[in-house]
Amino acid sequence: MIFTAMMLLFAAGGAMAEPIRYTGFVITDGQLGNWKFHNARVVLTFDSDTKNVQMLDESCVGTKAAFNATGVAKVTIIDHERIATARFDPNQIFVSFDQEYGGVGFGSFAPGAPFVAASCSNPESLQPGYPLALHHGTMDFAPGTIWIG
Amino acid sequence: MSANQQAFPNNLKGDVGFSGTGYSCIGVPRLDCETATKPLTTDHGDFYLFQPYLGMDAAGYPTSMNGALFIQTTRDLGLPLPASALLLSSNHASGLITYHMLLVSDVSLDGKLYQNATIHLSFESKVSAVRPLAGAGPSGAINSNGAARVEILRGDRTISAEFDPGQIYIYFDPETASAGFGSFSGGRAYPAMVSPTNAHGDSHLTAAVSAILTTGSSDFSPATSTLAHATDLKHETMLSDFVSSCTDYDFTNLVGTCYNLPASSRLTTNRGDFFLYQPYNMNGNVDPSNAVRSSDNWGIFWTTFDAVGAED
Repeated sequence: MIFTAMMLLFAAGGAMAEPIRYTGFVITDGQLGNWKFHNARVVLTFDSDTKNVQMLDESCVGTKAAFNATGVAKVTIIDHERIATARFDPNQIFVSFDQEYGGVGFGSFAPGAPFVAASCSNPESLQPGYPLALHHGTMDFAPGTIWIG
Repeated sequence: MSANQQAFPNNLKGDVGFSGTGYSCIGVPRLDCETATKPLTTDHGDFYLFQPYLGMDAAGYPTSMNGALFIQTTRDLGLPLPASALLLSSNHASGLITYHMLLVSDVSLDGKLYQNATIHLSFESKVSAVRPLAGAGPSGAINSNGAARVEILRGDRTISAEFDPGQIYIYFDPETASAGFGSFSGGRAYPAMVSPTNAHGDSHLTAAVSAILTTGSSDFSPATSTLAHATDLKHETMLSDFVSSCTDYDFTNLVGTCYNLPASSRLTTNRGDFFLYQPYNMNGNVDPSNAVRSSDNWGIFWTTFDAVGAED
């Protein structure tokens, strides 16, 4: 019985706190310092713990979303004969999952007054589509999401 | 929609991999989303990411046509991407070329099923082996002379295998807006092909490149046009779109549906029999039955010249 309950917890998507790495992959253009890359393989990572995931509601951000802004973000760029890994300065990157519209990915905070999840202060600073967000894919049908074709 | 997709965690917890249209813009994707004008800062300087491959959606908003992956891992915090997909490559066309396909899907190797695994298919060949593809117009091409491999990551497991020779080919057919890894036993859409599906509406990169080459369409960003004219299996290119692993695929009129979805074709490797499945699907208006589905999954196809170089 206890074993079954534990298995259900795991199946529900990891209810217990544990370290987690979020990884994004895209082939695209960009710039790091003076280096402009073209059709490079770009790997974004955000290392955190599931205990840092917070829920944002519609009254705060206009949708229901899981949100994690506590972690270390890095980017690795592979462009032909060159590979470089850079660490983002703190408090710029977050990951989020839009549970109503099915988007997931790496967002960033706009310069200016910081977003505070507990009080929902300055939600306009959230930029969920930059540097890399996914939409219109396999996550559109995760529980609670509404598919917009 | 597929039942396994409905079971995906949507709370940023647990182990799971997603694929979809990749956006890098300020604003709301699929609405008003602009190129970033202010940098993110790193220990290597200012950082920008752009989205060069743009089309226009039905509402008139610029929309990204590129694909991307997002993967969550808890048990093993290594990089959840196959190392073979991250190798350095040459700046110069040496005559040696490797074709790549990256996707998250279900795969079986030697009787062991790996679900929601990250899969990298590669095919090492020579530019001189590229041939015209019959019926595919002046830009269509095929390459059936090379060494095909697969690397599979699931959890803390990494499995690599080499396909037995003479099974896999690489092709690009702008007339059917499709490209990827075909096989003589399973057809052009098996083991993995990127192509648009009617069920999903918006244009994506493989469709856009094909439209530029076949109709001269100017509905896409200049970078997309440049990419199209480099897509001939002889040069560096990159395509993404919905990825199918289907042995009975409908190529007519970009319908993009798979008949007899449960069937996969056996490919043989030095590690045993290989099967690739199409677990993430949806029904569109043109494919109402449960047996006929369109892939909801994204794949990324690209080419590189031979690998050399050093790490910063």
